[in-house]
Amino acid sequence: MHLSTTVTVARANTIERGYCWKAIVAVKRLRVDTTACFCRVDAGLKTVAGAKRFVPGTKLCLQPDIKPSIHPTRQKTPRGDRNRSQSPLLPGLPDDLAIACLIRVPRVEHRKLRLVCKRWYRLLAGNFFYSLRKSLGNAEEWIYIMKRDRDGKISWHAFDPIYQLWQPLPPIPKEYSEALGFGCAVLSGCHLYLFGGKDPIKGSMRRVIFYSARTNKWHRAPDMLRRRHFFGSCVINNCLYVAGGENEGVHRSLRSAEVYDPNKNRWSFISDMSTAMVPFIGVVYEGKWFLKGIGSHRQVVSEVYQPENDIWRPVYDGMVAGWRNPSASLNGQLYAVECKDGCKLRVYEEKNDSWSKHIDSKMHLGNSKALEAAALVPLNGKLCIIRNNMSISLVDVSKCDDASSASTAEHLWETITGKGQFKTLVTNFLLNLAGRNRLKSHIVHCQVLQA
Amino acid sequence: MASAPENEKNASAPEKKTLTLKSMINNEEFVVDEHVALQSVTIKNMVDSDCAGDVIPVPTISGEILALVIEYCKNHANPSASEDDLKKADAGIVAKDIYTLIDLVLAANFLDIKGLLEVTSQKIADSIKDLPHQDVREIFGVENDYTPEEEAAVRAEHDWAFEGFP
Repeated sequence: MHLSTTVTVARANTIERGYCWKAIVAVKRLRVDTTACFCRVDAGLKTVAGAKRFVPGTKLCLQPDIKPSIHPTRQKTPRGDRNRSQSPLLPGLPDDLAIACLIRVPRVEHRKLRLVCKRWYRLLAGNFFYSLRKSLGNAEEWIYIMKRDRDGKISWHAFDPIYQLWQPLPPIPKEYSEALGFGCAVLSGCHLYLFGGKDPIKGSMRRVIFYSARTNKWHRAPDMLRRRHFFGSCVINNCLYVAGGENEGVHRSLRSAEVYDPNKNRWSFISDMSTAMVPFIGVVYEGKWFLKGIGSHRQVVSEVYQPENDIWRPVYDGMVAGWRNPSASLNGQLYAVECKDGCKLRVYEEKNDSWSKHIDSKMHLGNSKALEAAALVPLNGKLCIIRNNMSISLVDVSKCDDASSASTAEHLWETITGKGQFKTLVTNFLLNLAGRNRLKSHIVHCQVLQA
Repeated sequence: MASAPENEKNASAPEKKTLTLKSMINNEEFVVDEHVALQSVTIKNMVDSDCAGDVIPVPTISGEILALVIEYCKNHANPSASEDDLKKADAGIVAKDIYTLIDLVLAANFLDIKGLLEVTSQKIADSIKDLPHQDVREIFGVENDYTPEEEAAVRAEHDWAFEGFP
């Protein structure tokens, strides 16, 4: 121990021991070069005599005014020192009140908060800050879009719908930079998982990684039990389910399925599907996972999984028959696009097992690939439509409960980033992003993360 | 208003009941209607438990801040005030320099006035939001303990954040 050795070397008397403490603390805290003069860094503590004695090699500094006090300060000093090094988050406020202020700073400025000082950095790196934001209703949802550019590379972009700004993100880890048929899902509201998929060189993968919207960093998670690509995935009760897909070695579709529980940090198998499948659409509705895909004989097959009793069964009802991609469930209702550009939605009605109800914006955009609705995701209680050209519309579906209002639903639609705004900074960003090849790139995954 | 008929019955106290708040920093006194003062949970608890004398001493809050707090309480005790009016009035109260805002947060916390604590802490958050990080340090007196290298590293982290990847 630092202290005991220095004390024995010095054979300090009891009066000087207090100063010895101070000097050590000062040295440790400030990491002062031992050849430097102590009265410069710590004049207030009047430690010259003590410091000189206990730190070998210290040059003597001539400061005749400074004399050790004859009143020992003893244990009080270290405590005072510690308090001083633990400066408050916001001077003038106790830390709990400072945190009450800081959690109200919008997410778009959190990068800046981390740059202010180390204490703020540590506050934002811990779970406490974001858990508090979540529990007090300050958490904000951003849209994360993963797209494949024309050169086959995966890029991703975050959009802040409140400030309508695109946000820079750390690059996708290289094992996913060109991967095909990988899964993408959100656990715990703030962790974006990428899993499985096919690397152009290494082939089918078991790899799992996740990005935390709280720390803005990528991390590894345990590998899946099977290599697979072009499989289905969903999240139920904060557990990640994957099923079916292909496996390079076997060259045929898979029946196996597995689940990842982040609390156990472990993958385990669930029941096999009743038929092998390469799913092309999936949704969670009423706690059950519906999957539709291509079976091993190129036929269309549909299955539903019930997690509570771990059972798969084939399904043939009106729901799967009229089901279109993309689709999403929100507040117990199931929605899918009716028109390719997402200007009209269809709603599943359980009572007559059909998709006969529609919500129509009456603003048809066109049929080009660029205008195609690539994803439907729930965002702040509304339904968010994301198109390949990165234009985004919000539909307030909660306000169209009866069929009559649904037919005149123009007012429920809101474009948060669209062609109109392409003449702004966003335009330039997007043009730079995709160049003139914007039309050829397409969205592969869309998710919403909270922080 | 509910207490009016009761007061008439008593006849001895025809006017509304008032409380006197006294800042212990500069001994300034404020006479306020009881229902205004009772927006402070701290004062309400004192009154409810009969701890409040004629003059309620308020430690650590200056007269200047106490006046602002009372203004807030008066606005919010007015049942005919619309939400828009209140928003405007709140914005006026918190349109102050940082030191006043910090004192207001402390006062709202001490007196336990939830709404005031919300608007003042939101105002501080808004000021932080609108400032570059160097100005946040300067205006709020937050010590920059980063070396230039460390700061550059944190800055880079937000653009290219990797952990556990080769």
